Amino acid sequence: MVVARTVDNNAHNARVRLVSALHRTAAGDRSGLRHVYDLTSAKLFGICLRISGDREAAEDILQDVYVKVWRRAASFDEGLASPISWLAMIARNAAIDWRRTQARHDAAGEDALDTVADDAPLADATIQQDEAQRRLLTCLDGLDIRQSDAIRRTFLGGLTYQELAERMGTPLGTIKSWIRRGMQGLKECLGDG
Amino acid sequence: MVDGPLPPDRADLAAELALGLLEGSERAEALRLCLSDPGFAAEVEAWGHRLSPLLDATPLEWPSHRVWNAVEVRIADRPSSGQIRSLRLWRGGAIAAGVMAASLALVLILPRPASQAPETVGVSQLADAQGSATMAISYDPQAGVLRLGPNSLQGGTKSPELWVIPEDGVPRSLGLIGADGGRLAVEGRLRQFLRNGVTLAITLEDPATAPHKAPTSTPILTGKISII
Repeated sequence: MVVARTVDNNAHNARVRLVSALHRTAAGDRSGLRHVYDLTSAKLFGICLRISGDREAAEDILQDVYVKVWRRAASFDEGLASPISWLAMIARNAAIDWRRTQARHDAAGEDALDTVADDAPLADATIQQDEAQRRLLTCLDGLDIRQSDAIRRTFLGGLTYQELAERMGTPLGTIKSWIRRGMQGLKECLGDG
Repeated sequence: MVDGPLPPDRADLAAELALGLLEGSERAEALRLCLSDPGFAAEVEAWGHRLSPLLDATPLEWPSHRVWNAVEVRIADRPSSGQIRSLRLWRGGAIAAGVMAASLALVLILPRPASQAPETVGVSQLADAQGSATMAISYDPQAGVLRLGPNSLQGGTKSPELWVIPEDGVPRSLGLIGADGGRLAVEGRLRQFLRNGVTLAITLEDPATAPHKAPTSTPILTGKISII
């Protein structure tokens, strides 16, 4: 239990440091942004790389992400999201935007995505789980396995409906129904449906 | 902010957009809805909050040094959070950064018609400090015309006046806005300012003397232009 408490304290301290760095960033302090970068760039780069499937593109996306953070730091609201979740969503959305503006991904990009998209090492991170994450994972596990699998693959891999249908070898209509029912179930389970 | 639950098809669409599943015209349409329907936009954002803990498990990867170097160059001559400082000066520090906080425009990306040159459309969604009032604005650079969504901004004897605040931080009046929105032709000399990333703001002003050289009150709505 002492170990667990130490982990909690570390997580808490990391969060406090990140929030403080974001506040300094919002006030126009460049060293604040550098601190945010040091604390989060490996995580955000992991997200950009996973979704873009291309290291060079992921670095370009990551650049945009931190310029966005510089501009948007004032809009971070600790009451709405944890700082790392807020940053992770900016990174994910930037990477999705990038993917959707690529007319067609080249084969290399697709292959690279395969190698990173399907490993889903959720268990690795259990030690860092906060309450929101525990609830989400519990609710996902409560869904039909095909529904939760489709939701995870899409969200973490940045797939479109068409790509998801191809990967799961399932007709598009069926995939849509899994996603829609799964998302409805998830919302109900999370208690805000 | 949300007037009751969304219709089921809208709720599905919000979930699909948040997951990133949509592409092409479906995605463009859903992104447009984010501008015109605050309830829809709120649901998309709520999905982001619900799902974001999943990203915590993404494996770490280390970017090269060129990323930070590039970031440093790009923020070098750029105040944090866009035009906050000039807006603060303009407002005499009366309103904290919260106003700008609520004002971030959505970035829209439209599919490019295969056979045509890319069409550029500017879009902004203006929001108040609480995010409870919003207004969608789109801009057609070819015609030099702003199209404004309906609003409830009329304040007694005052009328809403729209301003563009470019990089120099100096507000320039684009003219008065009617209650039913509609079209606003932009003077030729002002069109150069309607670019990606610049701030738009609305203040309540005396209609008899508009357009004004400078605003006399704090903005009730602010937002940024996104080129799509």
